[in-house]
Amino acid sequence: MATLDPIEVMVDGHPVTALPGTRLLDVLRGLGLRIPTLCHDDRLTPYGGCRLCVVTRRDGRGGLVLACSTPVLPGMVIETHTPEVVEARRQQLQLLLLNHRLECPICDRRGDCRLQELMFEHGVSEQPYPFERPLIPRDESSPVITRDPEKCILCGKCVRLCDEVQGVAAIGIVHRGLQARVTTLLDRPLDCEFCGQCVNNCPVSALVARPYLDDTPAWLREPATTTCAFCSCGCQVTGETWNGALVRVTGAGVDEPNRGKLCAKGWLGWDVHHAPDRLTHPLVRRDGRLMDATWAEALDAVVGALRRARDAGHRIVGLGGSRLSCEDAYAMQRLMRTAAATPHIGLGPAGGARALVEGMGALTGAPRSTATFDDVRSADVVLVLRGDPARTHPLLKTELVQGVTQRGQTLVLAHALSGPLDRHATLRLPVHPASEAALLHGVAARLLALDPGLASRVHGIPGAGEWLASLAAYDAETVVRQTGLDLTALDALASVLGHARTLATAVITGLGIPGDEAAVTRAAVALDALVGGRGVMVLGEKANLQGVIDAGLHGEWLPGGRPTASADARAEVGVAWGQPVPPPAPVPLLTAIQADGGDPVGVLYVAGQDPAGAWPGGLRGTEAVAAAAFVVVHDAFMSDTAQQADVVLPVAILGERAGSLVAADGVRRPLVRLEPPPRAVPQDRDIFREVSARLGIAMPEEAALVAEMEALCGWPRPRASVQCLVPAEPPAAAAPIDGLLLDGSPQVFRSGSITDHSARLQELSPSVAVKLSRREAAELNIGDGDTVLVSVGDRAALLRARVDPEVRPGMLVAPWRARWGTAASRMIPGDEPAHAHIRRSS
Amino acid sequence: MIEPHAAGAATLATPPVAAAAAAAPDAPGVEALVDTFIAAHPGGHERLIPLLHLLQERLGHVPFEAQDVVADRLGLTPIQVFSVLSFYHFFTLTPRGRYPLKVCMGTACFVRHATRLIETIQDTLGIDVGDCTPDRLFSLEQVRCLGACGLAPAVMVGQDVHGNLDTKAMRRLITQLRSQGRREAVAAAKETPRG
Ligand code: SF4
Ligand code: SF4
Ligand code: SF4
Ligand code: FES
Ligand code: FES
Repeated sequence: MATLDPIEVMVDGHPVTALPGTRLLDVLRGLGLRIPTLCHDDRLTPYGGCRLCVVTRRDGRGGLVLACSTPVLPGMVIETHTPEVVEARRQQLQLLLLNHRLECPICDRRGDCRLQELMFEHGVSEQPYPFERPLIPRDESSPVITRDPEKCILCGKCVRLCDEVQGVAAIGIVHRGLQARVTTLLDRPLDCEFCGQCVNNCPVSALVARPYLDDTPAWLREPATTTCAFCSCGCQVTGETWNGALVRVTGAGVDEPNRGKLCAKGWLGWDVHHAPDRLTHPLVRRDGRLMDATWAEALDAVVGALRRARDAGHRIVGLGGSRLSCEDAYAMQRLMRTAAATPHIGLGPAGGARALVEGMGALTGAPRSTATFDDVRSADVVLVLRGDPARTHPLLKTELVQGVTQRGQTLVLAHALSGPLDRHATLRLPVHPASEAALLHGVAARLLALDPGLASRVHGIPGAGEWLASLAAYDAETVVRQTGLDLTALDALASVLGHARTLATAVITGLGIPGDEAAVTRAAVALDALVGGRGVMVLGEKANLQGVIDAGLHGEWLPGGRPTASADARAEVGVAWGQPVPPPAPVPLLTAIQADGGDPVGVLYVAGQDPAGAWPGGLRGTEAVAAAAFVVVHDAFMSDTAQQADVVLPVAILGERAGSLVAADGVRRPLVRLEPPPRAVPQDRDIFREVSARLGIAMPEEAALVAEMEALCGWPRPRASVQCLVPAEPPAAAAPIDGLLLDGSPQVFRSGSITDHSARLQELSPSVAVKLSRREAAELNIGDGDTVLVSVGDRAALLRARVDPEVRPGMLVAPWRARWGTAASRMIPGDEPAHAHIRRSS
Repeated sequence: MIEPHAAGAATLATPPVAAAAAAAPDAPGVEALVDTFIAAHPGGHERLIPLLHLLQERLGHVPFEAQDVVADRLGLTPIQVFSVLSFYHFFTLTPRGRYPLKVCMGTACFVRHATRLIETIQDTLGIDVGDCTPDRLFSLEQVRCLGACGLAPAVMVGQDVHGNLDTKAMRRLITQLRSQGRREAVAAAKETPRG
């Protein structure tokens, strides 16, 4: 930041210093003065629409100025409460009422309305003008959102948020004067991302969410702020409850990281708590069938199986998931490592686990990101790899849209799929699937060819020589062949990176995204070191990937990022637990689960994943679950794995939990219980603690357990930096693309098994369909609604077809996991791109 | 958007204005008009209003299909284009005639049989409200009170208000405007010979 000399201004007769260029409004509010605003929002460019922020300027030309859109200048003389200011605000409020059907006592927003507050403060109760308010009926044609044009005061916040922050621009103000109103094109029902930004920031009740329409006035609702658990962005959400039930959800004020923003999942997805198919009783398999059981019976069965396996020396495998809270994950790994005495624990193929462990961990010695949201915000170039954050990590998407629309950030998007962020990218590189790593190696080689001096940036790093030498294999021709881009594109990227003052890189992860996430991450870290970037942020697919690894639920990592391979680290943790800690397993977890090498699994203990239903078919999750002698599952719903299990234990999810999550930015944030879970089902760690006790090792009680974990984990963790480089893997023989690329990666309203159970989110994406481009539809003579057979190798599924102009030609988009149908997860081999064929069936 | 496959910043010649203007109003492809303009005026969203002006001038209106093209080329959404378009009275969605007939349907005019004026126009010109005659001379609109209630029923043509009209006077007004239009067209053709 350039340092500017502070300037002096007079405010209400007192000298005040401020930085030049600051908005007058910020200066005044910084002094604790109350300046009313209706159209202003810190996240938007100044608008100057409501004229309520007027103050008197005494110097220069003088007169009334708008505090929200006037920068401070040296020598300014400002008065904030002159009679003309008060009168101007009164008149302005009266003018606003021209557009507003005043009915405060019966309004949904009573007690929670900026306009009502300001009218009260200024003694305005009606508008004195002889005009008739145009009568425009309420619009209830959209899902979720109701618009009431007779309430709208045209502050334009909804329109600007939808454009500048959400990047959707689904609505606009049409016509002018008394006829002006906010609407969609031709008044059609909204077809947007349903992020709720518009509704949650409307100062009046012109926009309301039908799921949160509620008779309870604001002052009776109890707010609590928790962390959203639908993805790894870590958004802060405020849930308001009344009589113990969640009646409204909004983004939590100005809290980081999201500053009030949410996405459809974090805004609406909470009805999952009350999904009719929630599991509320333990189930135990008897005579081949899963039957309702008491907790005592179920726990006896689990403990019996674990004890038998442990005593007989059979393999016990603990497969966790990144939906677990830090506390739950910590308890699980403690149970597995001590009472069950097994080293076979971890996350398997959970989206992002390999990127953190084999990507970041391999090069920085610490399995965590080296960049934060702030780095992404402040970098002048952001490189996004492997996927569209609008589909997987919506908060990151809004940050990038703001960067581009408000700060002129350069956004480079390199992945094979299509998504809503495409239209905002400064440089869109539609690479072949799974070729992002080749692109990064290639551009590193090109930068070095242009400026050999760059190599000095990495010279001190162990392994740099080998890495630099390995780049020779990535000559332009190879990279062009691997990525499908042309030389111009490669040069465009080299030029953007070469001129970047600051670079931040984001690696998107998620089941169904083709390619090796760990290799892309390593390539990104190396490139970042070469150009002197801010760091690399790995965005795990599910909420608490980082926290689960921090808490030690990984075979290679003990709590607090201690390598399991280190005897000292094991001894240190062993002292804290009063128990020995087993050394790392001889085989990777996936191998252990698949029982490769002939060692069968005695007990497969699964919490927070669905290997049978949600793993790529090629990983043989279904087969592994079937082959395990005894399977225990913690889940809120009857997943495919649960259906094959011997014991199923229902648990609390999302906002029913207390504890903490660590988002992709490495910050640990609290989980606060918004609603009690149905039938008081426990949190995962309550079960782990009980099982451990019954196996003879008592775990500390809640407070002591949390204290023990915090002492070992040492949050906030320091920022890691690159410690070594490894050679780029030799270029793969480019596989010929045969058929269409099947994109099964997360979709805006459908990002995993939990969202499948939200009726509200399902309403927004009702059909379980395979989407194809207009080109393929025409070539293959497939129409909207046709039943089609999609096949990848010998796996096939019948799906309904939808022709979608947003889908890129050459691709098919299918839901990864869908409750009512078959899905991409079964068809996709693994990390490799799935080449699919589609034809009309019938 | 830096399009990697684009041919770089090739400078295209200035648009062939005369050719486009000489053709019949529907003839120049909207896409061609927009693309030529875009190529000749590098820049961002600030090009929206000049572009809409161009289309209004060449096509006599800016239909939704044209707005879609504009939105696509400028990286806006269709509602963003319509929002700007609907703010300015200058732009119209349907073709507007050289003499737009705005018949007042305010209370005073309504009770003095303004509907009969509408019917007269419909019968005489064969067009409905919102339409334009094929020769683009007349279009018909209904408006709210023109502020000339003393002259009710009133019709506004361009900037002129004609009051106290009955069906006969209405017909006369149309005949008068029609011959005026012809005279002006002939004069205009003489002044700007095209080659
Ligand atoms: S819900 Fe979000 S995307 Fe939809 S109109 Fe509102 S701000 Fe725009
Ligand atoms: S709907 Fe609400 S946010 Fe949008 S312009 Fe109207 S008052 Fe403002
Ligand atoms: S972006 Fe992620 S964390 Fe934020 S509201 Fe959406 S799902 Fe929740
Ligand atoms: S807040 Fe300044 S004009 Fe609305
Ligand atoms: S009602 Fe027609 S001019 Fe007033």
